[in-house]
Amino acid sequence: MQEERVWEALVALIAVFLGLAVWHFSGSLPPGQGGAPGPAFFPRILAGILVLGGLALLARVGRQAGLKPFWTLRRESFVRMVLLWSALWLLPWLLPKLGLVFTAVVYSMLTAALLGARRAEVLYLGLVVGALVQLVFAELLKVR
Amino acid sequence: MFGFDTLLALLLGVVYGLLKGVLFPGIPATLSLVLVLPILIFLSPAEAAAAVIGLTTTAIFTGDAGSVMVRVPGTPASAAYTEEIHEVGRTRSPAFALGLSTTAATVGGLISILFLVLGSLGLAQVAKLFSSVENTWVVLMGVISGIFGAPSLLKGILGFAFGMLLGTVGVDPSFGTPRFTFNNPYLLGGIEFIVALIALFGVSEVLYALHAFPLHKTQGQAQPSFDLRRLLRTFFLEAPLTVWQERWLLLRSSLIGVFIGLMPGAGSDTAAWMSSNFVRLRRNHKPEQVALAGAAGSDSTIAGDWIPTLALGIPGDTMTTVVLGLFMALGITPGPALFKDQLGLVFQIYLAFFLSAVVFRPLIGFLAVILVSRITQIPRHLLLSAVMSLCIVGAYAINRNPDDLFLLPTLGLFGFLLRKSGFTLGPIVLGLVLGPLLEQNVTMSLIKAGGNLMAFFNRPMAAALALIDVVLVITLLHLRRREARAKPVSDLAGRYEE
Repeated sequence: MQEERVWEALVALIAVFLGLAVWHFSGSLPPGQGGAPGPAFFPRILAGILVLGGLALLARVGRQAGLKPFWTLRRESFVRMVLLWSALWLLPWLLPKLGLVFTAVVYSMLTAALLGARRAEVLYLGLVVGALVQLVFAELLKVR
Repeated sequence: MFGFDTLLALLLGVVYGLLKGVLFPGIPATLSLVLVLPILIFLSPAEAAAAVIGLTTTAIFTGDAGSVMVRVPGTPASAAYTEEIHEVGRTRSPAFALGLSTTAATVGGLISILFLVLGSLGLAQVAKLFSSVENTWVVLMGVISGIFGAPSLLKGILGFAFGMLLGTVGVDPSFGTPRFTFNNPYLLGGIEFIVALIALFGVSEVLYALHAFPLHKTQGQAQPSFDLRRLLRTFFLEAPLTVWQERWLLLRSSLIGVFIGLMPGAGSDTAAWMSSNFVRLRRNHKPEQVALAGAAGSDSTIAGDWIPTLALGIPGDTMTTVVLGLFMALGITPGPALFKDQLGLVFQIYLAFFLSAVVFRPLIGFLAVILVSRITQIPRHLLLSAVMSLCIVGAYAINRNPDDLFLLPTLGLFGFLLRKSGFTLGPIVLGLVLGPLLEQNVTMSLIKAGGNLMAFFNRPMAAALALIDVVLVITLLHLRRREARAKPVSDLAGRYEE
């Protein structure tokens, strides 16, 4: 529960920040005409909900004492998660270079290694994933 | 009408659902559907619908295999009676326990198909009279139910707002003005729905598992002996006989399931908890009765969930929200127009439900018995690694655009953060699907009425629907308060969220 509150605080901050940003950027959208709400109408409602909801969530979390920063929770697994997440940002650059099948194999093996699979399991998985992607996506659906 | 390709798609969906239930029960049913969306998008609407029906109907009831063998529910619905069905499997036999749930699911499924045909045809006739004003209230009904379906009301509202906000990116549907695109041509088309689903469900699941490292490893128990004749007798004779003895309980649980399925936002897990809890209230109840009631309740919601989805375009649960998004991606808009323009497709959907429930389910149930008694489940850490690569391949396959892959880390992390903080992903997907519809209907109604808000109440049907929305809010608030007072205590509840 304590851990959930830490993450809740982070999401609440994101909601407030996002709400303020949406309010700011929707200001440049044209106003509505002839009784119709303009394109900024719904984004502004959503911005209000996000700010108020985020603040309500923050107030609920604020009553809980002694919360640790999120990056200190499960430090080792947090690092593993960040590693995979960072690797995902390379995808748009890596996929055109390596091709679909090889990229799928690399990422399945990387995930398996980070999830603590044995070396033989990692290799076996790479083979199975490679064959599956080649057969279903490359051959059958012609995705290149 | 129901061609060979459609039948094959249905069969493949059923087989995939079986494999999901037996080999990888730890993968949520919605995620298993999301993972095949990039393949379904290449099929015709009838084939895609048949595959989805085969998958969803089978994945829900084969979720019991994990409960029977290793006391790990394969679906949230199965969690409602995991203790009891595991007990039945231990004291009688796994074949008997799965025979019980298969028979109950088959009968429950049949009853719900009857309601699906009558309910959706009737509702679609009424919905033909709707204008954008009435549609606003109907969409709002779906929004309310989805928000209240979340464990926390505040998180439900925030989740819906997040989803709807994602839906506002791109060209505004009413005025054609670009919104939140920051002069990036990629964002003009909006956030690709299926890629967003893959990131929110798939990538977040892998990140979630990595953060929970080391994973709790579950291994299936291989049965020491295999006697086909005995399995056949237990599955097809003894279990149905027990179900027949409890026929009134079966009927009651099925009707509860259909009713819950009809309510937008409520899914098979609610029905399973409700119908099994009714049995638990009896002083001398048997585990067989709880398992039977839970299985019938959960499976009869599936077709019920499709009634508002098909007739009104309002999804019944997270799974049908995904299906609705898939239909839209295939160029089909569920609602009254579907019954007018593509009645053939509607009947193919009914037929797919019937074939799946009556022909395939008993066979697949028996296959599940053989599989769980012969093989070991695939370890979760290997499955999740395969899921990761399928997310990448699937996200790319939709548009063959590497830029789509930027959504994976962005929305994947977002989904991870939301799940870590106790949000369910259902309201977010609902916001993505229903948000633009809500905006379009409200804008159109206000343009027609020259900005007069009373237009939302002037027509009798609109006023009636507005009243239904108010009653729905009051009822759901009341139910929520009652549920908070008497929450069922189970260590298995909530282990799976979607």
